[in-house]
Amino acid sequence: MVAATRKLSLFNGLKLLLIEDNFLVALDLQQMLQEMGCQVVGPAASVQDGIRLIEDESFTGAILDINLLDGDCSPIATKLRERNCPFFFVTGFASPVLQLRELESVFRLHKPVVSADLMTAIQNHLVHHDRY
Amino acid sequence: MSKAHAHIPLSGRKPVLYLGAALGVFFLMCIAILTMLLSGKARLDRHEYRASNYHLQSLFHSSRIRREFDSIEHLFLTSHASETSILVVNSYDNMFGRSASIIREELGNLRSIQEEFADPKLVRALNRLTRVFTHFLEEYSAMRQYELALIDQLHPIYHELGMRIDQFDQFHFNGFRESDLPALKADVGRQFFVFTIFTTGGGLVIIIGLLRQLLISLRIRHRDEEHQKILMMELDHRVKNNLAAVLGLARQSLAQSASLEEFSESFIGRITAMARTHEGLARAKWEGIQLNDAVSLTLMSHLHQEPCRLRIAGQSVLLPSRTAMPICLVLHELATNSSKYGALSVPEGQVNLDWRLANHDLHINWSESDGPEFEQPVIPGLGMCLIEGLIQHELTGSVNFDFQVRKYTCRICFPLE
Repeated sequence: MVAATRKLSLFNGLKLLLIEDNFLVALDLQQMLQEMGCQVVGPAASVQDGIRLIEDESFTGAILDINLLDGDCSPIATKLRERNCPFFFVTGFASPVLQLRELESVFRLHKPVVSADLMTAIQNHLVHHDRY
Repeated sequence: MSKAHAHIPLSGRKPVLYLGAALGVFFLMCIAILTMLLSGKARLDRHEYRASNYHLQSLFHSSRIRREFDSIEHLFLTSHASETSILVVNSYDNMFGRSASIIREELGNLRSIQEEFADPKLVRALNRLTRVFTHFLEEYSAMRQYELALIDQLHPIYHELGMRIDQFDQFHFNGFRESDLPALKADVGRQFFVFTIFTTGGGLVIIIGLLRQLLISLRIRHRDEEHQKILMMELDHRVKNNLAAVLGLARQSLAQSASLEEFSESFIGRITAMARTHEGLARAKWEGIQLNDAVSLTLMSHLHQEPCRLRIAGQSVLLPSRTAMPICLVLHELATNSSKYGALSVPEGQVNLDWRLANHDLHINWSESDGPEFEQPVIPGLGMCLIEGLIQHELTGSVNFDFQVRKYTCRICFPLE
């Protein structure tokens, strides 16, 4: 019970954008994030919806799947960079597949995602980020 | 021949010697041509024709080579058939210079191939080949300079070369020694690169199998490997995504189940539905699946149990791979729910499943009638969440439920790519 409470308060309402086209994976990630105390914006399944959410909503970081319903997530990543918003990728691809070379250095969490790894990634790349 | 003299790179002889050599060559060439015509080998093209002259010429100079005559001749014929050019050059300076330039040219070809493919194995093989060739040239000119005995000096180089070329085997570079000539036939038949050098009583003979066919086979191999790599990546991606989806489903089912029995029943049912869809898609080579087939696969057990109470009607519609999985999972949820709480849970209940395509939108209706008495949604949390989520999120479609007393309709509509 104590552990659960600590877990819930971990990110204390940190607002994150979630982009993932597979519904089952999105649902799972969303639940994991909520259990960690995050507020989830989305999830969106397409580049188009992702861009719309970036324009309409506010959040402190983003978790992006690379391959979306309508293509590569590069446009979303570019837009996030423009706004200095930290993000990382969640992907099933082992090798780089992004159209934009400069995005290849961005951290990637590999599917299937485990809660502990997700937590560490958020801590390292979305909470304590130095530059973007 | 006089033109050839102009290119002599390592010459130290007096002009009169060249004139003598040229006359000798001319005479021998006449004999060679006659021999060739008589033995019916005039089919050789111009390049090989000239090469044959060199070859035959060296044969007249060397009794040792004559021993190999049958094998070498065969090499010519095979090479002609497979369009691999084979050149045999004797130890005359001008001819050696020519063979050296050919080797250089071919090394250049290999280098450009290597740049094209960036194959580290090829880089190593090339570097070795270049070193061996450079070494050979140096030794050769040194020998000329000091007028040392050719045969004795060339032996170690020959062995070194043979040894090194043996290392090329794994890259399909096959070298051979004098004793390997019969094997050469097979190598040329396989259109591999052949490079050998051996000494004779009359001097030095170099045989170079040019690399045209090797280049082609390298390109083909490279293309196949690339294709394989892409397939493997795609497979890797799909497996990981499916595992992630299965894990997600497991966690969701677990969270919503009251008991282990409930979990195992719902979870196994959902995974089985995914597996059946996967099987159907794999059978169709991932090029899509007929909606009718997807329905049969997903509702198989219900159709066997309740053939008359489950009516299915719809036109032929090809579901793309991406669309099939969510649709099948949704149908599975609807059917499972129906047999638990809906029309299929009572003897008189009836289910109609129909679909139609209108302006690239696929409309699917699941209607239950004569079911048990209910007024409010009979689909529990996760089932409803999956139906709505899969359709809205993955298919950018819409779902509407119309609940009435003892009947309800679920209307699904989504754009079909």
